[in-house]
Amino acid sequence: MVLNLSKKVFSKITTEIERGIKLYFRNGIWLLSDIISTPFWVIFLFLTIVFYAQYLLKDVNALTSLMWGIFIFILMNSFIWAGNSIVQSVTNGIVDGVILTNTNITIHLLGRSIMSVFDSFISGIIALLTASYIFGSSLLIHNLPLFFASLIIALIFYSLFASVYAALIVSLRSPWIVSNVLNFILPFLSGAIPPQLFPKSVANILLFSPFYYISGQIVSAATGIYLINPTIMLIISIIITVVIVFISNFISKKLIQSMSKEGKASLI
Amino acid sequence: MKKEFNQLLAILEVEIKNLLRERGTVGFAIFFPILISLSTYGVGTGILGKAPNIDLWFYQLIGFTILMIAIIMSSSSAWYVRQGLLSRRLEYLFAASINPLIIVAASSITSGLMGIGIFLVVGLIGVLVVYGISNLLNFFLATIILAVSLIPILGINLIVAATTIIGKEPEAISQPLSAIVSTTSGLAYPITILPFILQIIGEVMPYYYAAEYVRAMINGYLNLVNLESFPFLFIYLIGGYFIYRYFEYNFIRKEGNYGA
Repeated sequence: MVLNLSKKVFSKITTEIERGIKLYFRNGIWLLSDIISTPFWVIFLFLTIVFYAQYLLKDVNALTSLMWGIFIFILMNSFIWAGNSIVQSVTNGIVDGVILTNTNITIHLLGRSIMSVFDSFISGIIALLTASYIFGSSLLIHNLPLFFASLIIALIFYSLFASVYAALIVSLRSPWIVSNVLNFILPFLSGAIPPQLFPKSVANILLFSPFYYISGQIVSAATGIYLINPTIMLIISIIITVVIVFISNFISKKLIQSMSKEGKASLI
Repeated sequence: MKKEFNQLLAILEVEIKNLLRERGTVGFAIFFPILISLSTYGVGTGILGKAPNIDLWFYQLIGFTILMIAIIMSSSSAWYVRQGLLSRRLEYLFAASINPLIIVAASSITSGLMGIGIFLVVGLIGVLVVYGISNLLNFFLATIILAVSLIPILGINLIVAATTIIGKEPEAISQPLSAIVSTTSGLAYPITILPFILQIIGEVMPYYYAAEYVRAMINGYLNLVNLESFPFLFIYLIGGYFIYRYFEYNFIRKEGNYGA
């Protein structure tokens, strides 16, 4: 019975992943749009951040940290919009089907998360190349194994975070506003804006943010600049990811229960 | 002509009512330039270890407000088309005895009016914080300058609308435009720090002039010499009209591209 159940869950997961891949590649115009937009957004973000301290444009270390900061910004932004996509699922009546097939919301959002993975990597690579070409940031990765480990942890964390976030905004009237605001708050909480540019007392505030251990770890592994010991950082990031597995599962079940009870799974 | 004008007014009325229902969007559009300009000011304070000159905050506040207006104007045209495609409204509009140009113009004028409203609220806050009441008259004149500067942008909206009918994905169409405008138009930083080719792109687009004219007017140093390139921007309106017409005849109507 347990085997049968896990086979069912596995089948649902692969279906969602397949859906995400098909959706992403169905509209080539999206890919083209990303390829054109990303270099411009990178230049815009770089220059907007250093507007008050333009001398940083000559500091390769700061520029390299900023480049990786923009990379994780793209990653987080993509998953926030994956969470926001629950609204379309509700509007289009897809959530009705999700409830009827007894599927977890986290699994349902996997399809959209896969799109976010593609999106993050294509845009992320374009961002890295643009920053390196225009601003002279270094593309060398300081600790490659830790970099890939932290990237995998971040992908798992943000896929689950997307489902927690989706559950929190699903009943809001204008959830995209929250998503946009979150997009501006997360860079501050995650180390996307290089903490070493700030006085130590200000930078240390980041140590209280769980997002720093997930996203900031990618930047640290790439640049070799750490606020705390890398092993401790890695352990904390794994613990945070395990915690979000439970939170995501709990919230997802609660959401399905409340939608089933109140019959509010679709807009009409 | 009277018939067309009445049609424009009728659609404008519907669009404005529609806009008034979208309080969240309007609220966010006002909140966004303030939030992002304060965020970068905070980052600047953190990096420098002291508060930067408040004039720099005002520079970015005005720039981000115009950026918000540019994004709203291009996105609204694209989304209008998208919703029209999904609801099949566009099929009826193309078949009706109404010029599609009037519909696109009405949608763009509505978002332009919303943009001016946003500018009035955000700009007023900025002017009062930085200059007190001394520059208020300049600010209101700057609002008029902005309203006129937005007219050439309607031409770009026409192109966005036409390409959305063909490309179908509103965000995928408006996103590159927003990215290019944000980066090259001197909204968040002076274009002099950009690579040369991007400076040229910025200088041929109307958004750069909208931001420059508005800032100059508020600071009281705008004169007629500054405005010499302004008439040339109307090429966008004329060019947008012809490009729209070209797309309409050769792709949209011919291939029946206005269906879902």
